[in-house]
Amino acid sequence: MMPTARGFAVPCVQSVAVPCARPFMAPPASRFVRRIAWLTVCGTFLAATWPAAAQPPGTAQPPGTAQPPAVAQPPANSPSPAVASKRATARLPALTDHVQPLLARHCFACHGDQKSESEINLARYRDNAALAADRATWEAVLAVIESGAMPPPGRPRLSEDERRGIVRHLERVLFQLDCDDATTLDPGRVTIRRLNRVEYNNTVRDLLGIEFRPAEDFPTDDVGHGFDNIGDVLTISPLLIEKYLAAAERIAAAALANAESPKPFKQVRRGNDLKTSGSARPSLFGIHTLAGPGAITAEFDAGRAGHYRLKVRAASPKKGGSVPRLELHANGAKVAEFTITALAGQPQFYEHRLKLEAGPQRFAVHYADPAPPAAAPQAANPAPSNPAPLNPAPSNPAPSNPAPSNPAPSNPAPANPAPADEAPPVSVGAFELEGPLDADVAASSGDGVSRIRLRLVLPEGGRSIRDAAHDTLAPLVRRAFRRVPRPGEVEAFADLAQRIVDRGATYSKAIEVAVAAVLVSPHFLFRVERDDLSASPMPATTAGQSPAGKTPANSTPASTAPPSTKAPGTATAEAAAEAAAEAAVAGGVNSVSAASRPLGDFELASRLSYFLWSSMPDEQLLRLAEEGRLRREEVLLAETRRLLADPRSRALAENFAAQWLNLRGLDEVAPDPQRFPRFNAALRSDMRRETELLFDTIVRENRSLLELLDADFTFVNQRLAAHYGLSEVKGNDFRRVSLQGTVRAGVLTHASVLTLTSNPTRTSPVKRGKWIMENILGTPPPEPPANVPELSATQAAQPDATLRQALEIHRRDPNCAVCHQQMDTLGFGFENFDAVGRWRERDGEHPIDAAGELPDGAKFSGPAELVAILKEKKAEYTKTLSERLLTYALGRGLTPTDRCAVDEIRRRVASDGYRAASLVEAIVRSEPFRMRKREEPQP
Amino acid sequence: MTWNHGRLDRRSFLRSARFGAGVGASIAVGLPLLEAMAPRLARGAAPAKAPVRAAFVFFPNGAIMDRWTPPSAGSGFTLSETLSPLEAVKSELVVISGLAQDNGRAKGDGPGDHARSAASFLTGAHPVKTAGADIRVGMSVDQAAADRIGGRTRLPSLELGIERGRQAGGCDSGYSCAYSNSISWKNATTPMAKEIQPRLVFERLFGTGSAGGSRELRERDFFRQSILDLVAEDARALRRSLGPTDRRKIDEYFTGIRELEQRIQRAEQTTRQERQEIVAANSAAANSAAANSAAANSAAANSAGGSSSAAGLSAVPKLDLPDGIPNDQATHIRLMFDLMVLAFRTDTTRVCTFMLANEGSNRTYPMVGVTEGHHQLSHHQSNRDKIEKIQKIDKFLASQFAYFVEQMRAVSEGEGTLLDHSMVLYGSGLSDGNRHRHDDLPIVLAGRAGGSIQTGRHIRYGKETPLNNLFLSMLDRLDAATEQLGDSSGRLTDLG
Repeated sequence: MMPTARGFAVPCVQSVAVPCARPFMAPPASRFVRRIAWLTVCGTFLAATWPAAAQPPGTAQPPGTAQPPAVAQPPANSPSPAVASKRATARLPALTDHVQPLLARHCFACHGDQKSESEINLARYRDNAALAADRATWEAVLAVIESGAMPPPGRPRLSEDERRGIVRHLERVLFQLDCDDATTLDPGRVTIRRLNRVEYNNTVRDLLGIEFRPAEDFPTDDVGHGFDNIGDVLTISPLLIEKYLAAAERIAAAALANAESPKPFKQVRRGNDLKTSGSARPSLFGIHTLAGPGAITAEFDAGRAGHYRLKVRAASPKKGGSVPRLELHANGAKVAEFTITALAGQPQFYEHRLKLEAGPQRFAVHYADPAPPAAAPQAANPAPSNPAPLNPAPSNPAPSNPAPSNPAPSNPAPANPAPADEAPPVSVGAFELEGPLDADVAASSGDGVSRIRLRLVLPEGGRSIRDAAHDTLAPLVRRAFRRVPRPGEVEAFADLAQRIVDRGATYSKAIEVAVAAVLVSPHFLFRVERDDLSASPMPATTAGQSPAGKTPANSTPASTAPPSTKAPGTATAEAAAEAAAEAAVAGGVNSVSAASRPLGDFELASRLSYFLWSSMPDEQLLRLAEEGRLRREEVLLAETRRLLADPRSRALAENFAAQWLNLRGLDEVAPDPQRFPRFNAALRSDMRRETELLFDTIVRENRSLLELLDADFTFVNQRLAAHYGLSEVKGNDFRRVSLQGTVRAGVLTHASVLTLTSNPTRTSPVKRGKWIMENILGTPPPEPPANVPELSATQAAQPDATLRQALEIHRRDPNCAVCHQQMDTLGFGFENFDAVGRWRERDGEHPIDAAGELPDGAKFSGPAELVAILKEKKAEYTKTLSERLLTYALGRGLTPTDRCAVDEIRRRVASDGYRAASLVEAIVRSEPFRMRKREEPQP
Repeated sequence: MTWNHGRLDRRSFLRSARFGAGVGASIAVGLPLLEAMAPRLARGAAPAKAPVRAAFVFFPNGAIMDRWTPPSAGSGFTLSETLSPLEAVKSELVVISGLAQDNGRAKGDGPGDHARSAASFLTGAHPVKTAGADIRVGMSVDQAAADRIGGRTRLPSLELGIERGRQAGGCDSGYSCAYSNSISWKNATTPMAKEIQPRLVFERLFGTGSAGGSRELRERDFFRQSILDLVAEDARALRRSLGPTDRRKIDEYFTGIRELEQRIQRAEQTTRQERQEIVAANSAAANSAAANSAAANSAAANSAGGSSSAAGLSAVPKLDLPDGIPNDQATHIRLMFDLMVLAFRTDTTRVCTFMLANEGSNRTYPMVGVTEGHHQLSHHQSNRDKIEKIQKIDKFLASQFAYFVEQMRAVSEGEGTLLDHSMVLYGSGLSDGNRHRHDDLPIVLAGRAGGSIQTGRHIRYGKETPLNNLFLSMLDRLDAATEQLGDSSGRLTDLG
């Protein structure tokens, strides 16, 4: 039998002896069955294909015989049937009310007692219980009815209401789920997620301006459900902890080197801060005097490299005609000389501007030989107009002296040296260091230029080290933990800094260690969503944190939670804000079952920013969360649009699209260099870039998501243009070009997709077809059995057969035919593109035949027509994309209980012309995104 | 990162290592110094016994078994065509046939033999079929060893590979990629991430060499200890507030933190004593430099200008470590093997796993003329041409393993060689990759484990003998005896 697609025109679906899945399907373990029904149907088009039957062939069960409970076991995340059925089945219509008559009319002719195509007899299920007991079969029925694959073409169609009615009924019976009854809904629960590598890099970039991507050295994040941000799969090995610590140290050092201090800041050393040596003497009132060999020394710590202004407050009692001079030494080297003309009692600042590296600095003034008597009027009478004493107003941030090496203006060289009197003493009251003066000195840190810097508060002016550390760290902790710090949290880090200083380290080193600790804290590395906090009753003490008028009008689960679930010991501001906001929002989102709760504002801020940016919330998001406003729907949607408009939303293309479309798989392909000599790493990267740019553009311009499939423009640089045979593009930069009048349109004709679905030496129509079924249509075929029938005899007998002929022979085996019929047909539609995506008319000596007919009767003559057919599969495509993006947004695999949310999302998208923003907004509004199922801590 | 503890002052080691490399992309490692870092037990006058080390080297996609298995059993066996690169070290090997990893089989879970074969390879456990939630298989033999003896060395274990995990899509039929990318499992739910960049492995073993003197290192350890104390307390508090699922993740975090803390504490305890030893050892090393370096390495004895702490050593072989991942696959593999030898001979760890590629890998092997993907070819359907190509891959990988065995043998330790005190397992979780067979696995064991294994033989076991029985026997020899691991049903009694 050669089951060509033409067979599908007959009323009953042409029988295929054995469903493709059966030979290697074992008796159903419940989890496995679930997966089949949820993910795996080999027949959106291919009506004859059924996934696993619940029973082995030939063991049809008498109606009414209940299956063992294991078969109907619900997924881990769904309510237990016993509990749920009380909710949902109370009003559940009998099977015979509506659904069975519909099935009788539309299905029983082929799947009834008389005739049981594919061993499926729907007539033998007499009631809901029987149906629930054979969950595997009915999940498959649900899938094909929902997708419209059944009834097959040529049979009377179900009306939309009928289809929906059956789907809803089956959802209620199988999943205890009623999309119209909020009490049955379950938003699911995301396992606590650590940052993955991309998120880590982006987060430290946005937190501290670190651009050197420290997570490049981390071990690869494992992929689950197609993405690398799935909480359950993101494990933490000891190796990763080592990497975290090393990265934190590196980041903290860079952050400190790059820290921003209050500008220009001033450090003062006076009195006992100053050290004297030689003839220098400390005296009362903290004034030190110097009248001969010796030095007065002050030590500072420059927070970062840059230009600074050092000022020495000095004066000299008038004594004779000579004017004393001081040499200024910085870290042991003379850098300037001051002539001290200020009189005792009227000390002035003498300043010098100089460039310093970050770290400890040591300045000293030494007594130099007095200058010969200066011009008497100046020396004797330092009027305010005299330029020598400098800038008594330290608040002026502008560098007043642009010539760094220019000492305090010296007096004109006197022509008449006076007799050297006894050297006049100089009194020095204070050293001050101001700076860094320059706004942009980040270049001194070789690791990267920062836009956002750590703001260093120094322990000066009576501020203790612990307080300064606290003030430095508090804003950092808030941003690093992406929420308001809890009481004691910042203090713990400040105490750490204090301990480090106590041990003899500098303040700046202590802050560095504390910053590293923040970056190793679980509150930074994990995205924590704490069910215990929001379960706390709202305390009245934190009105400042809670939006006014947000008393729990609705009696939410939160406010009725037993006191024992209260967070241990603390009713923190955050808990209060969370609880208040929860109460406020509970009415906005459908009121939910007691097992769920709305996310807190901060939790929501992180969900949003990591969804759209793969990074931490920015200041505005955090502020809205603090004000308790983010969960208002209009605010949330406005923020969604704002984040989408931000350049950081390119993360959706680079992380979501690159994984959804398997673009990252390009890194693993290795086209045969002999056959494809022009394929190289640069071209590989260009290919990926093209597809990312198309996706990004559709998001950024809020275009229709369907355009991804047939966009008449794309992005190329010179290399990729040459690969495509487009000539007018020059240079490495990508630019947008029209594809009108070319053979290409949309991602299915991108070299990226075409290459990653090929084998190293040739195309693989099977892989291409499978890729389309998985990623565009959402109907991945099951894996082939290990022991596929051998083709060698065929190939030996027909060595000249084309690939198509060989595969057609292969499909003669009904085991293979069921799935390959569709896979191969789809894949061969793109045979005009070779294994690296170049257009071709011939494969070796064989002309390309890219025509085909799909199981549903749609015919095409080549890739352009096939693309047009696929674009019309709007429902399947939108559902697939919605499921994938929701998975990515949540960081967990979907379960049957997410069906309502997916359904709602795809309806919203369809009703808004399939625009990209409508998909993102629908996801953000969905219950799985805004809520979570509780998991109470256990003692 | 550099850790201030080890047999030798690692900074001086690094200084010498760096000396010849100049600025830039490679580190040159001076090998003669390594003698000073060798296990304390193996040195000195006291006839102490060298510790036993174990390595587990994995290759994916099975092999062409009728060209792998030696035709005859016993001590007079001849190597097969595929194993012929091991001829020079044949006397050091036991080829073991007949072992099975039953839990790699479907057992009702449908397709996914590749994922299962890797997941079960060192665990003997049946992986839960899941793309995400509830990943679970079992503790692997290397981690069972590390759990017991890991505290005696600076690193409890070392996990290496040359391929990143797959970055997109699924890995195998609904199994999470964690299963295909990992053979080492710390416990049933935590796979051990593997390092694939040679330079990062080196830095993990010996530090970056950037730290200053011992005072700075002590200071840094103090900082680290302070950080870890603080975040451990954070994690404890957080854990109390979480439900059971989230707790699992925090527990993973906590375990990692605790291991780091312990390592720092061990360093503090041992530093002083070892420092004295190092001084003595360095002078000893200088005296026997010629002999050591000759034995140490035959390759590239290229003078790098001596070293500061082992003055007088002139022949300093180099280990050039590029940044990132080497382009050439053979170079990459050999560098990883070199690093394993380094880790063992310096007693930095005694347990190591190495994946020559992830399971199901579709790599090409152009160096032996194979430009099709490995996995694609492995479903050869008896096509002669494909079989030839698969066998070329099998033989290439065997030749890389032969290099490792030779390097292990080239290091003298005590009365014998490093290999004499080691057990190096080489194998795959599949035998026939075309049919996904999980029995009669291709397994070679090299080394004598301190004299307790009689090598130079091909042993055939009865069908369905659990591979984990071999693991129990290996754990005995590692001083990590365990009564049960995975599906083990006993021990292999005739290795000795």
